[in-house]
Amino acid sequence: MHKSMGPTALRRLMTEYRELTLHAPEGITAGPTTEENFFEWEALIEGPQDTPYEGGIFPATLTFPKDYPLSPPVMKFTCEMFHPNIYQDGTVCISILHAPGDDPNMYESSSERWSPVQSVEKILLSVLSMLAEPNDESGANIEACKVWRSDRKHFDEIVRSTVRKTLGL
Amino acid sequence: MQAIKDEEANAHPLVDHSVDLLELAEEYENGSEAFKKKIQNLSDTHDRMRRSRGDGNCFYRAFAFAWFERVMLAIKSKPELHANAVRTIEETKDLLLAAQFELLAFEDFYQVTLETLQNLVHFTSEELLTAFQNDEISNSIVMHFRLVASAFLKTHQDDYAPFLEFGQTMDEFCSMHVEAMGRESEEMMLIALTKATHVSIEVAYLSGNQAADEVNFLPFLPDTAPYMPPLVLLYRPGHYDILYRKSHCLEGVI
Repeated sequence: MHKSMGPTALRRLMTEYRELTLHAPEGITAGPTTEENFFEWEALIEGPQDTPYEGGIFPATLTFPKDYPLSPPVMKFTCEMFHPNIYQDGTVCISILHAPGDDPNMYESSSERWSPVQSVEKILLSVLSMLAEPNDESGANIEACKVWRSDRKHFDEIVRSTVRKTLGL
Repeated sequence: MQAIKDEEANAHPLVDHSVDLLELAEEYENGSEAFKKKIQNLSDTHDRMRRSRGDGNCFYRAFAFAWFERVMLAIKSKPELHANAVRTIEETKDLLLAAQFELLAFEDFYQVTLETLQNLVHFTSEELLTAFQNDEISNSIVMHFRLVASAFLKTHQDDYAPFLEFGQTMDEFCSMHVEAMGRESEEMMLIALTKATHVSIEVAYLSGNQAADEVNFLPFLPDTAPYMPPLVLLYRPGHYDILYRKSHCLEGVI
């Protein structure tokens, strides 16, 4: 095994993949892009019901650091996303993806942080609830924050149009 | 912050060779008289020290190394120390499960810690040091002890939650300050780890306080009678290293 790809990280990722395959939470599928590289995953997230994201299926990548799970992965949507907590390049910005002390967006002290007790499954579940309930206190997309705060109807319309695009309609 | 950490990492191994305590005084050559005097006094009873990297994990790493080294050096003369340690680490698995940690989240760290401990039977001092200088092994052991401290605090909330500030819950405190790598430790973590492992610690507080020439020692005791002399740690504001008492300075410390 290559030394820079730590055995702990690989073992952990294989365990998590197995668990996710056996007990996939509703609305989520995730796994390595190729069998050769367990440090790059693809995920598909279904838009939660009763939200403007409903009906959409959103692809994202998860890139794991070599010292995973000591450090968190980076998660990035590869489709167009309009959401207060997703940067325009698709990078997801929620507290669970940041270790305590690494605080780019001044998260509330009670919000969930990254540590090795978290997991891919917990990240994806957090992302699902983020889609349902944006946090406009720690915005990554200022425009989305503004529209979400001031004109919810317009926000929903923009999101629905991105949903149609991801479905190729 | 990251730049400072990287610089530190390049300059110092995770755990270093031990050095004569008086070498520490040289660091303060042009500095505080109070520090120099205290180190001089400390050297009457303690003769060596070992640095743990200042990466926020120094307490956990120093504690684990000092304990494992103690066990290893006594493997022939006091094999019961090893048996005790193995049993203790095996029991931490139940503690972690009782604290609602998922097996998936801790089993790798637990395994590495237990295997390293089991390997002490045939380890040399050099091999132990090499293991603790290896990122994979060393950080897994640090992580295991972090989770053990966290699990102890979570399963003894009634005793410790009253000490938390700003209305924080124990779960929030542990997630912010104990379970993540690089988060510095406070007395509460020392108390938790001591009690969870039944290993006593004595911390020598080396501060620039001018009022006294003597170093203050603060004991951290388990609830059961300690079965070996305390591990000794040297604390300077914000940092822990390992200290060796003259009488405990067993042959083989490198």
